[in-house]
Amino acid sequence: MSEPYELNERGGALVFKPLAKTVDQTNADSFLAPLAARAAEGFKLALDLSELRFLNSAGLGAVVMLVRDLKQAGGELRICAPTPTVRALFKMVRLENIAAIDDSVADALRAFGAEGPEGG
Amino acid sequence: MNAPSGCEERLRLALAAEADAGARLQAAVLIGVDARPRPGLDFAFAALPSSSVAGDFLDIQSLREGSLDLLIGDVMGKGMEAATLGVVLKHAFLRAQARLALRYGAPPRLDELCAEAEASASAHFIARRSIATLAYLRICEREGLYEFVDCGHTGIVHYRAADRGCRLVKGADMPFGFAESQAFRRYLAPYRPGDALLLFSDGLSECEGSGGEPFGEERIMRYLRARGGQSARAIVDGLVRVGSDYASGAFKDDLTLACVRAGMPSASDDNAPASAEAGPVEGEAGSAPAPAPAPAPAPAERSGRLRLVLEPGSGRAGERLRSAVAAALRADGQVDGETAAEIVLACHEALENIQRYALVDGGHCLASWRLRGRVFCLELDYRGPDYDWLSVPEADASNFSPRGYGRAIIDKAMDSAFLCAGFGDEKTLVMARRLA
Repeated sequence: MSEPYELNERGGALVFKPLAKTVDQTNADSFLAPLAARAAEGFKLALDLSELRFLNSAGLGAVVMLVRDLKQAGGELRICAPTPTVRALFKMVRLENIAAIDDSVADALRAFGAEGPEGG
Repeated sequence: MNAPSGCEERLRLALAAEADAGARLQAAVLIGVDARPRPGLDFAFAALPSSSVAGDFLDIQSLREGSLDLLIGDVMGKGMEAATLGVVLKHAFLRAQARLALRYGAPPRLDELCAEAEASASAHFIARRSIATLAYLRICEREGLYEFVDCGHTGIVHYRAADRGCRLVKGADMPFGFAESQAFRRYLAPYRPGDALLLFSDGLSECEGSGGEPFGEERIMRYLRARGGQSARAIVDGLVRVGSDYASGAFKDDLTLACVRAGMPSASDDNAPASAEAGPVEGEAGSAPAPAPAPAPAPAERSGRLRLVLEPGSGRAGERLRSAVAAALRADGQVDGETAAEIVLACHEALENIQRYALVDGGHCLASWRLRGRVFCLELDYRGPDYDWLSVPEADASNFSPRGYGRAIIDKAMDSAFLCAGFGDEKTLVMARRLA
């Protein structure tokens, strides 16, 4: 069973927003499941983490796998608006080496060149 | 039987002279203890050379007020050769201490100290095809903390007064002489008033009973559990006596012991070595030792405990631990948000690590944390099967590793993390971080 989420398309990019507040060993495998199944499509993805208060190492592994799968398929993932604790985790493992981290979804869409009328 | 020939007699005398020289070297140089009393620290030692001198060495000294350094080691082999290499190694440490203290104006970090000593000593060991195991322990009174580096030695027994439990604390570095250099790991762990730390040589743990069975680490821990509340002197003397009884009075190896009890009234007037053969005590020559200055008042301490129920498929225990640790760090008021987030993450990962590798089917865990003197410590006590903490893989996001980030997070967030064992299936995961 996947965790609750919001998925929108804006100007050619997907915006995925997990609504779970916590990702730990109990739901790390499922919180990105709707995207993992479609990664081979190679889309541009803004991963909006503004609702996520805690992400553990297993959840981080899921993010890394999604970055890899999208890259291999010609797509791209940008992480948007991580909360301070999640941002600290990304900094510790230097996630910025494989995925850009933006302060907002609007910033990510601008970087994609995919600003839509409701971007932001 | 024929009387020895002149040649045999000369050989016997030469060997006896060498053994005597080795014993004198050991007594004069290899066993050195600054036994001045220190308020709040009760310590004692014993150093009993075997008949053939087996290369044990011990050094106890204070490099600054509020700390005590203990170095114990064992050079492979016996006689003059082992004693000489012991002198080489001890000299390398003393020189490294002086050089690094001059550079930093403070006692050096233990990992750096060991690296500096190894740089000058390892060539001698490699050339002589010998090795030395050692453990370096530093008591930091202000932080209520001990630090150690363990290079293949016997480990350190930590007696915990609060629950009368014992843990055998071990590091993971190689003995001196295995390689020209290595990256040493410094571990940190908290102690509490009444706790005792015991360093011992294999002369005790490997002394054999009448059936050939070694005395073993478990007997040492059992002794401490029963008598850990006694003075350091009583603990050391008692262990020597019990070991001697076990070995029917015949230790085949050097026997070296040092015990420190922390946060206790000083009993160091009682610090004389266990026997007259144990060698001189440094710092006693000449005038009477100056009284130690009163220690600085202990810094404020924030601490807490949680009994956690680990259930498969539930994140409740992790949530409770995160919440409690975050609250403690917030209440301190001096820990910045990013540092606090790193520590909370590492605590969570440690708990999940236990759930994932040791308590797969669930269990209980007692989490104890403490923030004192700008050092955060977490201990996770549980009962469970052995697992090799160091073999858990460490991931690298740049290589798109799918898992293993827990270890990477803990290593990045904490200055030290190690797993140690007690009686039966008792385990403790200990983590610590020095804060800016």
